[in-house]
Amino acid sequence: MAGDFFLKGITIISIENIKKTFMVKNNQIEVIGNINIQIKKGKFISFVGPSGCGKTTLLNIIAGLESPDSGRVIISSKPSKEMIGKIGYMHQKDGLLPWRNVIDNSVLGLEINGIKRTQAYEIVRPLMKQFGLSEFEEAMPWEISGGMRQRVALLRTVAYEPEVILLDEPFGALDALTREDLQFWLLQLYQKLNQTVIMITHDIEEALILSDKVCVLNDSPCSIVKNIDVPFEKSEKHRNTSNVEFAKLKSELSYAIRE
Amino acid sequence: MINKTHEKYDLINIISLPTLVILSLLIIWQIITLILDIPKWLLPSPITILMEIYNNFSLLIRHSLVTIQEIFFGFIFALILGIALAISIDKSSVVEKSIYPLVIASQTIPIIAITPLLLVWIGYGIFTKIIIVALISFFPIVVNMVDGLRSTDISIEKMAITLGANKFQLLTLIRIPSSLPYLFSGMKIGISISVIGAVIGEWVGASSGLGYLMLQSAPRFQTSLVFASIFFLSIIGISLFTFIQVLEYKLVRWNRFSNY
Ligand SMILES: Nc1ncnc2c1ncn2[C@@H]1O[C@H](COP(=O)(O)OP(=O)(O)OP(=O)(O)O)[C@@H](O)[C@H]1O
Ligand SMILES: [Mg+2]
Repeated sequence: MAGDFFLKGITIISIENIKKTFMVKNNQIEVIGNINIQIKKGKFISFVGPSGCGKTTLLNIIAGLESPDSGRVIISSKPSKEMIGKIGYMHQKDGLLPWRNVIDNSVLGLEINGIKRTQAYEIVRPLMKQFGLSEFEEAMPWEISGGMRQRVALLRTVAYEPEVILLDEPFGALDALTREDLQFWLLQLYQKLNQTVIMITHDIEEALILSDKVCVLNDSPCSIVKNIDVPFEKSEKHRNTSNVEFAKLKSELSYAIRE
Repeated sequence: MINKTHEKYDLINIISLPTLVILSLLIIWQIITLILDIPKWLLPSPITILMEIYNNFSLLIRHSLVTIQEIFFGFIFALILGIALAISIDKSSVVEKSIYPLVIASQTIPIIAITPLLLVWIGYGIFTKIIIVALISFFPIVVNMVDGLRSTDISIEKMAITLGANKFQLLTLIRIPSSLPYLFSGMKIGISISVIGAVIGEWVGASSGLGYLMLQSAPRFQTSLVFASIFFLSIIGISLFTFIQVLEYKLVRWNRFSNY
């Protein structure tokens, strides 16, 4: 118990003074200006911010896919570049391989990490069931709906149980109902595996429902303008969105975004 | 469902319309030769050609088999080399800068011009024709495969990298599969010109094959045998092309849906 408590206190992701500029037609555009944040193991953090403010760029840097101009990202005491392949990253685009069916897409991460296909199937089948995809194992990506595609992408990301999961608008263009279902799945999954999650979203309510901490980002350059610790218990299966305090936090956050 | 019926409709169109056109042309041809009383050696009628095919069937088959062998081995050769070279061009900028321009430049040399040289160096056997077929079909395969490898969706590749894919896994799991539609385009062009390659090879020097048969028959005014050979050549060409197309349908059916 004490050990568990101690683990929870450990900083697993440390984002230190990140800056990034892009050259667009000879103009230097400062996309990210000094972002600094420490994330503890087992926490669920959301970044909310307006479209085009640099959220994906930030996540790419955290994932080690892009290098910052200055500053660094340390994950499990290693530079994030060395953690590529050990971090689960669900990109904004689902990136399903069009030549693979649903189950073969789901096992891609396991396969890349050297697990035999048949064995990988055994690992993902229970998850497929949980994600409501069992009947679509053999379906090709173009035969399933957008929501199912996102579920497959999410499944592929969590299937090899990475310690750290990055989610870039995982429920992007979904209708409210599917979105709610998926949020619920994610919450259950996250509670069970005690992973550290960073999620990007446009949706303040989604951020409040899922996370321990919500960071508000603003535009040009992207930086954290506000961060709020969400006081609700994780075990409340679906957080009560009609709660007074919830509504208060929500308006506080939307005010911060508009500023 | 909609797709299925649509495909069937297409298939009927694909087969029936050209057949109809060809049939009407053959009928017109037959009528003209009858009315104008054109001599057989100048322009045989379709029925005469059909009789010729019937009478010389085993001869035509024997020569066809030789030509088919040349096309088959030459094309396989070009396919293996083409894919290997395309992958190395994609992987290494040294190979790309040093060899790719030569491959492109080599296309300005007419194959028919170097065929006599190949005869001198390699001889009149089947191997010379195999090389000519390979040389001629190699180019579209390489160029298309290189384009295919480069067309890989960057977001898919990044996704695979975050899952931990190494260079080799990126190639086999991502780049090669996504290049397949392009490879098939190259193969379809390649197989069509393979037939030309084989015939050119046989014209310059051979003792068997449909090209040889044509060359033998023409000076003897056995014009209907020339036509029969042409008929067999086109059957071979169409069959090989169709075979590749069926294979393409089986393997890269996803390509038509990948934008969904
Ligand atoms: N490789 C690049 N080269 C040049 N500019 C880039 C590049 N990548 C991103 N940008 C610019 O950086 C800014 C932030 O892009 P980013 O994709 O991170 O935004 P985002 O917050 O994820 O947007 P959205 O919410 O729409 O997904 C944009 O103005 C974009 O044009
Ligand atoms: Mg984005």
